[in-house]
Amino acid sequence: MLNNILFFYGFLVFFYSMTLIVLYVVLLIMAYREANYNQRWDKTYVRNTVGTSPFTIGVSIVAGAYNEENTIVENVRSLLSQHYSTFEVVIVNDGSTDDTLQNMIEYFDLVEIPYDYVYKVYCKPFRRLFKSTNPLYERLTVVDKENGGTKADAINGGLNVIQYPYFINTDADCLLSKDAIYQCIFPVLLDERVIAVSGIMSMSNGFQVEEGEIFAYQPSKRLFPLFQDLEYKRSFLIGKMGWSRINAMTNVSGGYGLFKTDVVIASGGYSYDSFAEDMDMLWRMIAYCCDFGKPYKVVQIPHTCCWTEGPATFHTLRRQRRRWGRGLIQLMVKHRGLAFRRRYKRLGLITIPYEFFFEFLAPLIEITGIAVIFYLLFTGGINWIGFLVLFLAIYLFSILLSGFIITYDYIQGGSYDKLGSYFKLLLAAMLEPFLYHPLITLFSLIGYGGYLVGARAVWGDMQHRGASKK
Amino acid sequence: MFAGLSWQIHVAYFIVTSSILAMLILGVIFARRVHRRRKKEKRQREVCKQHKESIRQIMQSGELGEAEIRTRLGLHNGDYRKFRKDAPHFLQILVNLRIEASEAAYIPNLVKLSTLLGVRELAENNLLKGRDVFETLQALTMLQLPVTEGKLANYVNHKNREIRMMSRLMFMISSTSDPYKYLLDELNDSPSHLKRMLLHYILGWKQSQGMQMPSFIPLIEKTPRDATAAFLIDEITFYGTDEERQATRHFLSTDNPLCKTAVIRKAPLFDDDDTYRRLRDLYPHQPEEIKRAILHSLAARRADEHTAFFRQCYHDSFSRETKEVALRCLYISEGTGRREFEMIRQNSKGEERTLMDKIDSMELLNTLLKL
Repeated sequence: MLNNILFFYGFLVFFYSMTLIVLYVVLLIMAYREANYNQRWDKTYVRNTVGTSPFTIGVSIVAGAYNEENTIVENVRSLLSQHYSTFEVVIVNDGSTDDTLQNMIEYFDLVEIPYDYVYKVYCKPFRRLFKSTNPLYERLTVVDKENGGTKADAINGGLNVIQYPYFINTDADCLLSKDAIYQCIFPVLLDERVIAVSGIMSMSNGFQVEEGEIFAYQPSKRLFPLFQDLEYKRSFLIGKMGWSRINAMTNVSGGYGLFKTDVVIASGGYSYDSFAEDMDMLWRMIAYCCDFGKPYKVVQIPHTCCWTEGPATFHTLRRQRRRWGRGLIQLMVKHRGLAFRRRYKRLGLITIPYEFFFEFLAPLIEITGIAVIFYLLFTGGINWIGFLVLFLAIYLFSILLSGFIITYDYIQGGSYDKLGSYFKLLLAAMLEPFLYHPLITLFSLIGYGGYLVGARAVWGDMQHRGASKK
Repeated sequence: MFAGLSWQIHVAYFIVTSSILAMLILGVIFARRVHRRRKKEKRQREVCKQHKESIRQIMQSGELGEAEIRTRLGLHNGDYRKFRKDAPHFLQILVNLRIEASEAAYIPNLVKLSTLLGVRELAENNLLKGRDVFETLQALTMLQLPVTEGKLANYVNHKNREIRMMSRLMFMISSTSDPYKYLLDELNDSPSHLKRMLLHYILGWKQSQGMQMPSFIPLIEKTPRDATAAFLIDEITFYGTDEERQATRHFLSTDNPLCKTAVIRKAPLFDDDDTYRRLRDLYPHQPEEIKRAILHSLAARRADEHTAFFRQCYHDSFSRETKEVALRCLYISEGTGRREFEMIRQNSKGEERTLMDKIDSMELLNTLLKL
């Protein structure tokens, strides 16, 4: 009986892993085609047209800030320096207990404005609203509210005051490229069906930053951010770009994404109790469009628009990934009614099944696989030559995939200044399957467990070190 | 090599090998594309360094003879072939310089320049042979450089919507017989913000060159799409005749909310009593968005004359947003309107008081920022 179970399990894992490999290659090809699709447009021409047109679409940038006193001024300045004609920046001070708000008030000459706050979407109580008396910062609005415990609540707090039909959801600690708005609005200009646009995010750990400007693009000296950088590149350049080709995007990252305001509000805004609020929001937006027969499109653009500081320590990484794991299982439970239903088009027939089988189940299959290996080890059931040969094949594939991504990133203009920086990434790619991936799997499983036992979890403090000064 | 191993190993290696091969092929295709792009960019920089300044001066000059242009370019007999090879790069230089100039700029030497540089020949060959069609059409549109209508015939009804759009925009620039033949079809087909922006840009250029504008009213009446009609009404403001602007008032009684809003927004341009009276009469029977548009229009130029109306709207409205607009209109009325605003403020409390304080603070802040 046990032998039959092991035999069946072996076949399952074999087909699962082979399907995953083929899927990655298919996504890679689709990603390549998608990346080339919009390259034909002359960006100078479009920029000039957009910059001088009376029909330019306004964009609001909404960013939540919680205890960011070290970096808030620098980051808000970065947000305000966008090269776009019609935009505003709304910073939501989410009940910070440090000098985040005070630093902004002092630097940006903010004054409190009486404001009749309307709760178009739910959030914790609003306290005050600030505007600047300095013409340099007239685009800035600061909303002060009670802490909601989650980023979703902070973003909802900002959604209730924005004035433009599209908004960018980002974190206050993210550094945006100067043309981030333009890059993200471009797909919207081409196609009115677009309801969300995802820009590529990269790690800013190790960068040299002065007054919101990046001066040196270099990788982190610590391993965890390197691993995450690689992970982000694979996710954006292969996964999301590929899914975007067939309008089956799985997620628009909460760190940087452009959304259509009325669709977000019609979908109820961000879920304050979700730990994967970005994915949850996107799925609800798509479900809303499907339920009401509205055409929709979600797009990934092949440009790096945003740099974020990733968790640099074991502790913060664990907290983040536990939250993501919890968020994923929460999503699966919450949206199980959408899966495999034609009514929800690609979301129901492709995106959710993919997320379920290849993202959600992956840690469970891996941990079971490890247990089976140990069992076979002790019972002498392993064909070592076959095992090593198979291991070599999969490892080689993963290295080459990462190598392809690193080369692609370098050739496209690169995240880093120096070629040597990419060798660090390549080294990280070689170590990742042994050092990083098992940790992520473990943290995800802990997250699943946390959800199942109903353990309380909060976002906590990311312990930003701030990118180093020039 | 794997003869003694199980079939799973064979399959795994087949899949992994195929995947690696697919990645390598993709890598080669990608590297080749990048190599070509970098080579092109390098040559572009060299050509820019040699010729951009002289081309800029020719474009900024008054009308010059062909011989003079040739001299300024340093183009002597026998150099034609060399120049023709760099035609794609000259095309890019012309486009960049054209974008630097304002949209209304008339460049008398553009046609001669593009012929001498081989740009015109390149563009026409590309269209004839179906090579880099989109990029060529885009460049020609940016330059506003006309081509013969026949060369566009293959593309004005092309299955690719971007090529179709660009070729129809190009048709508007090039055609002397019926330049707006495809205008309505294009607006109704796969609408996009960028399309409207590009169209607006081209109409602006055509008007600056004294070319004929389309007849907007028949197009508005013919289109089944509300958004297209609203866009055309907006365009009348910029490029329509006085008769057409007057004729848009007829759309105040339309059932199309987008058209109605577009006309209401344009009402301050008419600035006559009859239009304002019609807006006030229209107000009670409209959805809130249109009511707010009416209030904004009435306040734009003659706020002082409508203070009683604003006050009434404020008291009658159940919509918070409409109340806010009505109050703001009262506030900016100065004189009577401001006094009315203050009287209402003194008697209000709670959320309404906060709303009025907000309006006061925001208007003061806006005034301060303008100083």
